[in-house]
Amino acid sequence: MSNPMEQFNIKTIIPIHIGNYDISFTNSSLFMLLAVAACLALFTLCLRKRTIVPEKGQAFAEMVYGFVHGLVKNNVGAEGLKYFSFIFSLFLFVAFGNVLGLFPYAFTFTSHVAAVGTLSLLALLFNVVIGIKKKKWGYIRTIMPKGIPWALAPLVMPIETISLLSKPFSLTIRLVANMTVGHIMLKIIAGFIVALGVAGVVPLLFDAVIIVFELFIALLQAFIYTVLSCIYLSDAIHSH
Amino acid sequence: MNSENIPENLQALEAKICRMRGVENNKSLSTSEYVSAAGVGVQIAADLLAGVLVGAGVGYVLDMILGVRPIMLAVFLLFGGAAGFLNVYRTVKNEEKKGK
Repeated sequence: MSNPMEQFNIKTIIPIHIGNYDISFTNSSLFMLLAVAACLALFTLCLRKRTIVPEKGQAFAEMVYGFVHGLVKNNVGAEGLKYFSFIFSLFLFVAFGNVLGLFPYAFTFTSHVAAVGTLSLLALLFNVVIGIKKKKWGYIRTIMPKGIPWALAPLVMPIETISLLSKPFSLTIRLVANMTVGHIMLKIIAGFIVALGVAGVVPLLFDAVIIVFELFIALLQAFIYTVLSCIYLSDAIHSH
Repeated sequence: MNSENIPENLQALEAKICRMRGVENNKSLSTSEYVSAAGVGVQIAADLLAGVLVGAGVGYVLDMILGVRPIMLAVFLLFGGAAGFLNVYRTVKNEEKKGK
């Protein structure tokens, strides 16, 4: 395990092939399931006893709920609360994926473009479907803003379309880059611990500091990912 | 030590230092502001990159459909670059609005 990139390898656990498609159960799928299971377990455990005056566990669950609720309300507005369950699931999935990835021997599925990109495409789909449902033909204004002469349409329309399509990509790149860089850094410094012998205490301390920082980054990136998805949703709901 | 023992010019100096510190403190960013500023930086980089990547992707697919390789790729790379700049412009404008 000296190669810092080795931690991102996808390993097949249960091979499944349908026709020409490889839909094997991999370590990535395993950790996605674990993230969902951890979410469910935590929230079931915390909300086991539902009292009016919450205990520690219930207070925590309600805090997370209230936090995302406020996020949606501030960024999308009261209309956005209809889509709260989607945003809440998104936040928990990404946050748990990021945090689970920090455990030793764990796999970080949020460091893969395929996993995060699919989530972002879901947000794009949401944006387009809600936009069209709300504005019908007026949705065309998204790619052809008001006040632009039709002669410019061949220039403006492709640019606006690409701009619309590229948002989920920039969301994805952000999260993936942050997670990948953090994990590579941890691994490289961890490599020094063994190589330096007694002096390895220095990189060990350094790694200890970085892992705390990474925990912060993991939660922060989940938060940013959620905020940007909210903004994306809000663009669809009330656009110019 | 009571304040009567301190020569006047020292007290004036302290007042001056306090004043300048105040100015400095107002200028320097707190940690959370640093993090969010770095976030905006990464956002802009990702916006630029995403525009070009999506442009290239769209061009490549259109080339395959229309069979005019590599004309569409070249055209849509340029459109992608423009879209990237448009995204950056919008991000910066949003940040400006938030700052005010």
